[in-house]
Amino acid sequence: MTMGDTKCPHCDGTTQEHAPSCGTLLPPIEGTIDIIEDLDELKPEPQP
Amino acid sequence: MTVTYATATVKTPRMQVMADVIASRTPAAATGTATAGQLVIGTASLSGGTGVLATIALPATAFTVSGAVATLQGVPLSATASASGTAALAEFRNNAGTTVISGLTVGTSGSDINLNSTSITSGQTVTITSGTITHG
Repeated sequence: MTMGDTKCPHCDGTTQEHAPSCGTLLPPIEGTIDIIEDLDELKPEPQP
Repeated sequence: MTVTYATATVKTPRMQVMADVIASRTPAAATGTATAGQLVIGTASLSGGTGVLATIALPATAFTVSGAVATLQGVPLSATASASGTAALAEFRNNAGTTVISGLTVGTSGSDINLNSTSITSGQTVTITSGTITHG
């Protein structure tokens, strides 16, 4: 549950104080890593 | 995305490999004992211990490399968020906490790390389900 600025229906707290004060389980944050290297750093420095 | 690699530990060896291969030499194999690094997810102010939201421990050998792709091992990898905030940046750090790769972007799509929500609450579980780094 992402609370944003919405009041928690259980403890009337906001996101920042929701989990520790209420104990309601929050769903896990899940994600993936997908990095494609930008090789610009390997290009020669442009000449003035 | 443009990420930043540590100069002494990544950039210099990488350039040495390039120089050696051009000179028809064989690059030296890695030595030493592998120790577990970490993936640190933080806010836009992530720097050292500032702005840290979650620290995910990596396997001792975090990636295996095949062709031009490095694949994260041991997934899913999880940690409990240590603070609340909006995730925006991430770093790979070694066992000593020294940053190896910085400037990783965190968002919900089109970022280096894509989460189903960037709004992280302290105590919430943060899980990485897969990871690849592809040589462009």
